[in-house]
Amino acid sequence: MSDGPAAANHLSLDALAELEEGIASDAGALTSHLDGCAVCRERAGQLRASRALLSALPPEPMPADVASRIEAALAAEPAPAAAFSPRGDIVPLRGRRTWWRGPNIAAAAAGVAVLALGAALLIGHLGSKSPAESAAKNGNRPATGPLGAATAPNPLKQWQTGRDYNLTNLAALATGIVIGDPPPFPGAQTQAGAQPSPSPATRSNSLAAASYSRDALRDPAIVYACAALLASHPVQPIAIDYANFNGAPADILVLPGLSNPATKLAVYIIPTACSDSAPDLVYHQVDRPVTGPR
Amino acid sequence: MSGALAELDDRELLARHAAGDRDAFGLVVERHRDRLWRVALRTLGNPDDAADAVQDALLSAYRAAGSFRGDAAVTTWLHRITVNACLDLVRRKASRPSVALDDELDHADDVAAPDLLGERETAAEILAALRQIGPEQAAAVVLVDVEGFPVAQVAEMLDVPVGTVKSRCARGRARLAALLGHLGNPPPAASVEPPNANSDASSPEDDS
Repeated sequence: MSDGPAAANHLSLDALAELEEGIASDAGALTSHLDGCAVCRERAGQLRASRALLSALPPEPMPADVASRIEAALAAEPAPAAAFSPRGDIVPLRGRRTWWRGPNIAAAAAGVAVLALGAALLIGHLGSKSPAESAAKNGNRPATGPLGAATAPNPLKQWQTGRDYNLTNLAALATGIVIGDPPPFPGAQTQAGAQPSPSPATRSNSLAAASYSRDALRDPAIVYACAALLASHPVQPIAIDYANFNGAPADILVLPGLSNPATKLAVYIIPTACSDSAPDLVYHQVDRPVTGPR
Repeated sequence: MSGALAELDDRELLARHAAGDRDAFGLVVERHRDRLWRVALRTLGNPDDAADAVQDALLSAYRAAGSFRGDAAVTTWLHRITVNACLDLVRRKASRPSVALDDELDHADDVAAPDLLGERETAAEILAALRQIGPEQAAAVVLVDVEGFPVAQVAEMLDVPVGTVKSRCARGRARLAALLGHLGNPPPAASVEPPNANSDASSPEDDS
């Protein structure tokens, strides 16, 4: 890319810099020219001198006015957890890991006993705010299971609408499954009859792969574990819909908003298995319905 | 509360932030802002632009902390976001060329005049020269030569192969040497053209 080091020509600064960086393609020729050429050695000195100037630049702290301007801008941001999608856009959570090391729901489920305690404590705080009074009558509450007692006041609303969620209807549909009461459906507590009314076009190939996690999620304890995994701390999920997102099977899991549980809802679209590292897991935050249950 | 936070490392602070702790991110900013400022200032060569870029970068980091990949060092991650914010800003400005761009170039010509200069003026000249070589080469040179990061880490920050970092450094250093030659200790030998006589610093070798 540089001039050839013909004897008549001096080396360019580019060639000298490449030589110094160890990426010159013709290092041998350049070096032998340099050895015999005072002009080029002078030039190499010029290169070194300007590097020395750079490394001698004084440390320069951020000016106070810039620092306070940035501080103000950050303070105006919504609370941290809302920050995943401050403008309501979908954010892929690729590789999102915090102190939950569990890569998938199987690992998370192993921690259910621990989570149960955390969830019970949390529900003690949130209980009055959570929607739910009516879902119990639908028979969705687990008769048994580690979280049975803890979840009793605010059972998870489990749906299998089979609807196709997308970015446009997400807020409305997610709000709907929080406000409404799911109809009783067979298999809510067991794995039998767990086929969500499929739309044939979208549920062919992926159904087998999806069925494990989708059935597994019907145990509320595992939904709780999943919610805790996604929220990075024990949290009481409000509703789940075994449905579709953009035409592909997905579980729509609704939690209290992470930034403000009173006014926001956190919606996770879980494509296959509950894992905080799934590449296609998406998070969305929507406003809690004002007329919603308290 | 924040006393306990101060004990945590950056990674833990980001996790706290993502989990809703309102104080955690401020500490991360405090720890890194001076260096991010320097990198942005010297990559862009202009304090106003640097302030905008660092603000954009820290807001992005604030919002994206939940998706921070724990396998990258927080320092690397923040520098990557900052350099991207700088490049974005340059692209945005380039997409609407303005009088300001001409002003900057004129200004750069002014300061390239050889003179006896104090430390402050030297720093200003270096800044002008960095602005002239463009943000990609400037970022590489600043991260390696000024901040002293290893080339491999800079490759991660810039999201380019190690070889690309090296060639950007080499080209950037060559152009800076041409622009700053008059600041070096010995004046250039008479047989070498004064570097600033050649306004296109990318081809300083045409002196046969």
